[in-house]
Amino acid sequence: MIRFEDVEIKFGDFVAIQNLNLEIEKGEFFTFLGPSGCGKTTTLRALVGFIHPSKGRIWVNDEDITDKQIEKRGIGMVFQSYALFPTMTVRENIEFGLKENKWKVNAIAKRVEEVASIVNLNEEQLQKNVSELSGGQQQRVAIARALALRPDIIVLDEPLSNLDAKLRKSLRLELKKIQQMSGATMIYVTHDQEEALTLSSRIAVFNNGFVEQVGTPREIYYHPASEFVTNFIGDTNMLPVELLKHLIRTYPDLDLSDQDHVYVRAESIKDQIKEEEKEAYLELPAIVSLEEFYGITTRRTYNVAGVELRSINTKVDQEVNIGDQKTLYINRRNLIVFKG
Amino acid sequence: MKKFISVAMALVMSLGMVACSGDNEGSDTTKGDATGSVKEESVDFEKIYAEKPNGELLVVVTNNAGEGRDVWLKNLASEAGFNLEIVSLGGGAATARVIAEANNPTTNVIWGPSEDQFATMVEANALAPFVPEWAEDVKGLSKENGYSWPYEIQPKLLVANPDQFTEETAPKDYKDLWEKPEFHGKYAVPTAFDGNTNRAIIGGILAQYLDPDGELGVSDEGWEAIKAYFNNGYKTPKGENDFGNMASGTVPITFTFASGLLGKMKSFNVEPIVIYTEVGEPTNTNQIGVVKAKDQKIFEESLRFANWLGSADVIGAYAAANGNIVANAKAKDQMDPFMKDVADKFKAQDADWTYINSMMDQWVAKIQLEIY
Amino acid sequence: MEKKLSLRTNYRLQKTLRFVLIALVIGWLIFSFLLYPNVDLIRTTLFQDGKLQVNPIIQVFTSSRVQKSLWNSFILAISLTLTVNILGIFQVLILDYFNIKGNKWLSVAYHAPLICNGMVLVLAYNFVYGGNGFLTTVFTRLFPDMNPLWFQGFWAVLIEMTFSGTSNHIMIVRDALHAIDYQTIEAAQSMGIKPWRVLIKVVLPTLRPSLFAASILTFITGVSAFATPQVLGGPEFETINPLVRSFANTLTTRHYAAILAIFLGIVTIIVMTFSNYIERRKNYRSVSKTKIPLRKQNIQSAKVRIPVTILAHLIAILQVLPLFFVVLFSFMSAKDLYAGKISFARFTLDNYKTVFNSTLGARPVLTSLIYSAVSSIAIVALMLFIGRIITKYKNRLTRTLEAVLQIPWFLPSTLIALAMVMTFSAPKAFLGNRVLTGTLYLLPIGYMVIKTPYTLRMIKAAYATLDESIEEAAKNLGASSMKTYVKVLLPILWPDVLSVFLLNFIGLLGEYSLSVFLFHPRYQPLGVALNAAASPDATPEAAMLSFVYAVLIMAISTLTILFIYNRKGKIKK
Repeated sequence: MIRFEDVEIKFGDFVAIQNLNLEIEKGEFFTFLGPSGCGKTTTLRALVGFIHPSKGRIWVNDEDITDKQIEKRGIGMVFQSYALFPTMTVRENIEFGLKENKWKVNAIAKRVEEVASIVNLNEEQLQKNVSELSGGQQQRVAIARALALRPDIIVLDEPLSNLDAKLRKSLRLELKKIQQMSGATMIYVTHDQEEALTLSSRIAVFNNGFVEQVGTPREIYYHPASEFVTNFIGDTNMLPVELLKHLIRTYPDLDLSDQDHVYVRAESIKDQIKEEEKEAYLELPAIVSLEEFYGITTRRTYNVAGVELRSINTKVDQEVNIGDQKTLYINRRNLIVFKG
Repeated sequence: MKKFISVAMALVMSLGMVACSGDNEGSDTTKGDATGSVKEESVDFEKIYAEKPNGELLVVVTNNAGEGRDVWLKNLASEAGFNLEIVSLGGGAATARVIAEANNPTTNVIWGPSEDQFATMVEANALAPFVPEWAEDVKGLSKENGYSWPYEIQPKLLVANPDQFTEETAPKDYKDLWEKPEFHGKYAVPTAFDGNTNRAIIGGILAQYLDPDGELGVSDEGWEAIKAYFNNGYKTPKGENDFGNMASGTVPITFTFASGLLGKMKSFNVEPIVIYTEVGEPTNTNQIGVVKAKDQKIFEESLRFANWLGSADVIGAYAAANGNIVANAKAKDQMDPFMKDVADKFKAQDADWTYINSMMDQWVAKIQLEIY
Repeated sequence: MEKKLSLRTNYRLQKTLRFVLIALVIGWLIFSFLLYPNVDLIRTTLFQDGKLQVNPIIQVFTSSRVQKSLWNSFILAISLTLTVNILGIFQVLILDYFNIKGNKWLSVAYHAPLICNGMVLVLAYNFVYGGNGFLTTVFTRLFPDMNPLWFQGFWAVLIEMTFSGTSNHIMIVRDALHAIDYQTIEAAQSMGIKPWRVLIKVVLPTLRPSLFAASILTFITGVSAFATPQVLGGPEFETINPLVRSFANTLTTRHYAAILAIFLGIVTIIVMTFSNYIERRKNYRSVSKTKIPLRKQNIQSAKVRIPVTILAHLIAILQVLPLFFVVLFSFMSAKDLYAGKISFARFTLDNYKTVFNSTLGARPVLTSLIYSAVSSIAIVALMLFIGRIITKYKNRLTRTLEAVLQIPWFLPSTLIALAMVMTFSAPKAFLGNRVLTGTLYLLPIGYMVIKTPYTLRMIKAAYATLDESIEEAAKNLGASSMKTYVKVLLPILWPDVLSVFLLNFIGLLGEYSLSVFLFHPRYQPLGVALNAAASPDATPEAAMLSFVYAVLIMAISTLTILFIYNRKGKIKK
């Protein structure tokens, strides 16, 4: 449905996006994930039309929209700062796009009611000036405004980043529902991996103007395609190969001599395993340096020959004291190794 | 909001309408080439003066419009059949305007600037040749240029507070002001240099020190004199009135143009000692001229009006009401008695005023930059 | 392939064409009305036979009077920037930051100098505080030893210009104060920081950009001070602009004026560039996403509150007093005025009668009203357009455009007017061989030229506050650029647009130095009528009419302000 073809975007001499090729299917909840400055918002803005690529084409439904005017693209957008029109009421904000697209008066009124109920805005709130609303309500207006025109594609640029954590979580759920109800293709930009993993059907991880990996949340989590993705997603420990000298047992078939380091996720580091499984695990001697108890999970930090390793475990039977000696177990399958 | 916009629109439209009507008038005068289509040699003044006013609207620029004189003139002129738009401007501003607009004038008759201001207008080729019927009656009062004619004689008079001075103790001459310490700080000096009166005072002083070998034609002694004149005088700031200061005695000596004397005396309730200096008063005439016009009817009406304005009856009545010293010999008897007395007693300073006026801008610049 | 380039489908080609068209129109406007006339005048005055005349330059700069006046002008500009900021910040805080009794009256008083400025106001100061002034007469009776000329010289000029200069300053700064996020103040308070420290450490720094903009305007006002030093400067404190204008008035001394104008322009540009550079290095943006509007602070300690309240009201009285006197003077005879006698029994309507019975009658009122309104609307509209281009496309071309549009700030209006009259009195090819001198168009064009720099600056500041994503949102919802602008952006800018319009309008009502050259003889503006009444050839009685014209100007200004702000209030609810 949406296709980026060899897209390059430059700001002066600075190349923000290089050789981007990406396809997004109809009805997807697709997320651009990456640290700030990686080019994810730039790509989004190129799709909407605020930025013109210096090279390449952008296709929507097999139409080349690279040179199409913004106002004719029919892509709904929710802005990070909401970008509500301050001189208008909530209703006027939502009506704006409908009026600009010459909807009939009756149809406008009906549609406003519809989207208002989708985002949970009541009649009283519709009459208010947008400046009188709270941040969360303003964000609902912004979403309603983007939904009103029934666009096939809705893009959301870090829409929850200005809200507090609790509101963020509840709105996140609503967003998912709204997407399912409207059936629109959504493209979601965020730097928050939790948002990306929970919401998306697929994720593109951006770094330094490149897409490092495209895949479902699970693919990205379990099979990161690059060191960057490994580091960026999840809680990941880097193990210098040097450290493996301290292994309690030796593994003749384990050859990491061409590596400098390997990765292991925090949840893959355990301090107890069943005896019969031992064969598959590497064993490292460690000293407990910190423990945080979260209820469902417990996070511990260990010191292994001067290197800090973090673990997350659900089943933790024994209490430990800082300074206790422990043996850490890492399943060999869980070592993430990239070719030298 | 909508109302505001509609009001704004109305304003814009009304300007458009005004502009259009202005344009139509303009188109009357913009026909023909820029130097004027009226053939100079073909003007038959006598025939034009003999005809009745045709009622064309004339724009008269004058520095004689204050204190109801505009109404007086407009009424009198309309009785005579003239239709006037009177524009009140200072002499300098009027002159600058006529010169700047030489290629495309918006005015028709200029009444009031001095002869040297008219000389610059003539030089800028802004005026039309004009010879009034009363040319003989004002003969010899100024250098004839064939374009502008005097209607008023304008000596600059030194005046003193009658309580502090008698005719004996008052200064006898400008030189006394800076040479005698008793007058130091007691006389007002010019503070601006674009007015006729101020320039005439400076000219009157420097005229006594002309020296072809000196800087700008003035001897060193002359420059010292003018420096002493300014340094020992009082520079009346704006917001004070020099004549008021004279009347109240704070700065008991000042100067004025003759036509302002009566009015100022009335304003400040004082009858000052008028000093008739030994070398005579710096004097110029104020004149009437006709601006070039491209429309024959307007041009002829302008000539008729200028001729009418300077005639003995009209200018005599004007002088009687406002205290002017008339140029027209036939109107002398109509002058205010006090001013007639002044007219009889004063002596015009004898000097090469043409030369002085030609040097005046440079002198003023030097005074502004180095002396004042 | 060729077909793809057809206009309707090729968005980029359309864009390019639009750019060329706009560039041509703006370029033509600037060339015709700004660059050509002024450059031509400067060329003809400074060059003879293609050679720069060096002698006049040396003459000008070796004159000790010029040197002293220049020095005075810059001292004045710097001091004024300082004092206007101090008084202006005080007034802004009194109006919007602290709870002070009598807020409404204070607000009116602090803005009062807007409606009457220039020569008439200065004269009013002089008739109140000057040597023969009313208050001076009272004071000297109480303290016989005091110097009657106490209100003269540098300090008098500085005080008058400070009191009449803050109204513009506070209009700019108040908006910035309203934009402060109250949470930042609360945050500081919650950290236990004392109110005065909060003010200095939190509030004032956020006002910096607006203070900066206001300071530049004040600096330029100071450098180009004309009326005040002439009246109140006395013999000891002469500034440069009166000299420039008197040089500009006569043909043979005009080159001195041009030299000085260029010099002043260069120095001002240097000062502005330097300060812009400093400002840009310390730029910041508000980071808060959810702003809470400012709430007024109570001054808890009565020891502070009472003196501050008294001071605030005292300043208000000082600002309004001269205006009040202008109205009184308009009912007086010249004799009484110069004698320093106010007697209500002797008040008369004679001055008013003379004005309305003159052949001009009330026509100048209507003329100025229309001219000022039309020019103000036109220049605001044009600068909204150009300002948008300048803020949207930041490149060398737009920077040059912006710099060129500042030119009228550095040239005396007299020179601009002369340049226009002389250029447009002959047919010019770039104007389709039309002659503009003597038409009704010349004066509004002139008004627009002199109001260009100020308008552009204010409009640009307004644009700077716009959130870019609002525009993007509108376009994203299907509005064309034009509709986005009209329906979304303009309503947000509207309060600023109205203020700029109003300030231009009021400023132009009494404009003289440009008007006197450009007005159509049949349509005299108020400024010309006012100054003709007060010309050096006029008698003192005639000069009294200038107060009547000033009262008329104040009346129109006040009515316009009431009219516009009533509406503005309704828009904002």
